[in-house]
Amino acid sequence: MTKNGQVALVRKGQDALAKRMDPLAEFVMPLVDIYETGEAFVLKVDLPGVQKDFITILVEPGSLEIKGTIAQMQGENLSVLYSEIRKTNFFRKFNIGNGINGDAIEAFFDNGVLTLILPKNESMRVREIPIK
Amino acid sequence: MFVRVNFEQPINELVHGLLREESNQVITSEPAIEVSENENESMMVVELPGVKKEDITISVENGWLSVTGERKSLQSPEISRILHREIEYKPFARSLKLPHPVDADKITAQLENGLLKISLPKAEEVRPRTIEIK
Repeated sequence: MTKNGQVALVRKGQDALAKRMDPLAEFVMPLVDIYETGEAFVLKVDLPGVQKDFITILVEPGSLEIKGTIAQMQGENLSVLYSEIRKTNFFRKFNIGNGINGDAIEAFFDNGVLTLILPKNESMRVREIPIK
Repeated sequence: MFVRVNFEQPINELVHGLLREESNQVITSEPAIEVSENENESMMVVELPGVKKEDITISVENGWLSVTGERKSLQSPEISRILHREIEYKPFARSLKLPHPVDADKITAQLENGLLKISLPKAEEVRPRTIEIK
């Protein structure tokens, strides 16, 4: 099998797995990096080809949800010959503890990457203790 | 603090392991692509979230279109801990055999929202034409 064929096969397998989690759902899970700074948790989510208006970020006590749709790409009567790009809905949910100040969460979207900054509550921040 | 269910990671690792054995290389990642066409051009789209224009090279040679470059990781001094890493910050490469002769001077590319769209206009001789009957 060609390399292209292998890649396509793997992505089909991933979609099949996603469907098994919820047979009625057609969604992909975007890739995520999670970092920590002294004052906040930072999430980076890969959402190539997604338009900002189609992303929904929901924060509830204890959980953070990122979901949306990948809009159809182009008109110009182009017919697709071969595609590895999944155009289904995306969805990812995280349990977050209560160490985060939900009111102060910020989100930025640039270059197909969604950045979420989750500031820590006062009690969670890193602090240096001076020795008397 | 973050808990999530993720079936993709083990699959990704399994596949990359398999692909690595085939190519004897560990180095590059392979972004997803899409190829489409109409009567005047082909379009190749490459998923490159988080990659800067200056870190991408597109070249055409011997009937092949190659897209190479690197997704650089964020150099942020404030980061004290990496809690979870799924994104690949490494060089990438994808090559595609051109589906038809291309008018190389008119190839254009744009990077938008993490998608690289390359337009490959068909060379004159392969464009559809109507033949008049005299």
